[in-house]
This record gives sequence, structure tokens and C-alpha cells, in this order.
Amino acid sequence: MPYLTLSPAQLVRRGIIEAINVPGFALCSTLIGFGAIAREAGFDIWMTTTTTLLVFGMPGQVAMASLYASGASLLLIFIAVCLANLRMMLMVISGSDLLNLPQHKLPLWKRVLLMQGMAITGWAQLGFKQETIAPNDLLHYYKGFAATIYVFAISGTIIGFHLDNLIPEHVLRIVIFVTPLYLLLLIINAKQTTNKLAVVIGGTLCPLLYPLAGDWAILYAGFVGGTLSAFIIRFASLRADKERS
Amino acid sequence: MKPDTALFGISEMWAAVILAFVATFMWRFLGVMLANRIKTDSFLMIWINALAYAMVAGVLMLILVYPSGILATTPLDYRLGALGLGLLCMVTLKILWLSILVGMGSFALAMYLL
Repeated sequence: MPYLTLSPAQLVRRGIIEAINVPGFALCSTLIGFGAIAREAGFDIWMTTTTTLLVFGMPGQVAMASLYASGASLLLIFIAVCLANLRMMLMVISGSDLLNLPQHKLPLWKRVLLMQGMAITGWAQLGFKQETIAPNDLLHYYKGFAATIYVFAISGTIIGFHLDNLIPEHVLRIVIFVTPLYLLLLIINAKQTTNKLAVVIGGTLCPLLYPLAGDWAILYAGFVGGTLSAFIIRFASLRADKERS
Repeated sequence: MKPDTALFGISEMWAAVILAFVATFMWRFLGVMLANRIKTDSFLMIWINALAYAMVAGVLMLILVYPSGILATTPLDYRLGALGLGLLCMVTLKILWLSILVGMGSFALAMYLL
């Protein structure tokens, strides 16, 4: 499929428009859930909004609020959020690669600022768009997309904190279901077979390991799924090369 | 609900918020620092990408299989069935909006008709 030929401004606009769609509304609804959880845990609106603004990673945010509510120590909260958000490092490395970030020669503070918006939604969207937008152009698209979903996330948090009770439960159930559904649909459509296989193995293993390993299941499943898929595909391609020659 | 207490002069709740930020930011920062040092077409980058995909898939499946909050009030087989239909649609037809519609629609139908 040929890459889209758009100007940087058009790419930013495209990112914004595509974020004001399923990704934005799905993320907003997820953060409505977080706003409600944080309020129940006793956090005020400033603490709740600051958490979304600074952490910008739903599993870690929920871990923080619910552990605090359960009376856990600050050390335990720190460890739990570390575990829940370790994937950020991998997503930032992978996202920088997708965006061709080293080629853009940006100063450190700009790279750090750009990567603050790198959470599951933005990262999965990049993986999906790499088929239609050239690697060097993807950064413009990402700027528009990430900034917009950030706004949706903050809005969702505030709505959830104040208006949670106004949204009927039967609607909220479906809306919250859309976020993991949408993101799983995006990542199962990964361009590389290695990543597709990693999604299948990691996604299957994690819930199976969870009763035994708790939060560590994410790390175990990620490590086993990622390593197995990388080696299986590598081995298969080496074998295919050998047979061809 | 745990009452807020002062810890070294600052609210314990704010301390929890700041620690959550530090626990997330350090990974992002480490990612930024490492990204420039790993070759794009190396096996290490392929492996890191695969780890990220597997880990994200794991987190998302945990949200679906062991949800917290209101999603926990829905039956597991409805959630997994709707996800399965959505994935089937995505893998076969490769149309994102249709797959979301199939997944979401089947979940809604299961919730209110079954």
C-alpha cells in the first residue's frame, strides 16, 4: 500500500481528527472509570487530574488509587505502579523506532515531552498507521493524535470525578468494554508477524498466570510471549532462507 | 476510604500521586535514553517490540478477564465471546470500525437479550 502524501500540517490535523473518534471517546470513557475510582478512594479533583496528567497510564493509575484506598504503604504503591507501567519503557523504545525519532535530531526535553504521551492508545495507533504513513511523517501525525487523546483523558477524568452517577450503568458497561476491545483489535493487526504472535501468546498467558503470579503475570507473560515469538519467527525465517539457498 | 495524613509535612495522598508519577516517568525516561542506542533493524529491537506487544496484550486481557469496577458486574463469557467475534472480524475482514461494531454490538446484545 503506498504511503499518504500529506503536508506536516495536514498530518497533524489528520491525527487530531482520527483521535476525535473511537480512540478519544474510548480513552475518555476509561478515564471516567478512573475518575470515579479515585473519588471513591478519597482523592480530590486536583490530585485525580494531576495523576492522569503526570502518569498517563491507566493500569498504574488504578493501582495507585485502589491500593491507597486499601491502606497499602507508599512503598507498596510505588512497587505496584512500577510493575504495572514497566511496559512504558518498551513502548517508548518501540514508539521511538516507529517514529524514526533518532533521525529527527530532537533535543532531550522534546523527546521526553513527546514520549509522555506514549501510552497504549497512542502506541497501538502508531503501529496501525505505519502501513499508511511514511516513518518520517509519522511524528507529525503522532503530535496531533497524542495531544488530542491527552485532552480526552483529562476530560474523562474530570467527568468521571464529578458526573459518574449521571451516566446510566448499562451504557457505562458497554463504553468501558470498548477500550480493551479497540486496543486488542489494533494490536492483533500488527504489521509484523512476530508482533502478532506476541499478542496471541502474551494475551493468552497473562490471564492464565494471574491467579498464581498476581501483577507479576504481566511481566512473565510479556517476557515469555515476546521472547518466544521473536525466536520462533527468527528461526522460521532463517530456515526459509536456508531452504531457498 | 483511607484518611489522608501528613507525611514529612506533605499530604500522604499527594505523596502517592508523586510516587506514581516517578514510578512511570522513570520507565519513559529510560526508554528515551535507550531508544537512541538500539539499532532499528537489530534483533534486539525486534525482541523489544515483541515484548511490548506481548505485555500490552497481557494488560488488556487482564482488564477483560479480571476487570475492576462496573465491568466486573458483566459475565466473563459475554466479554470473551464479544472479543472473539471482534477479533474474528478483524482477522478475516481487516476493517477496524466494523470489527469494533461487531465486538461492541455482540456484547450489548448479550447483555440485554440473553
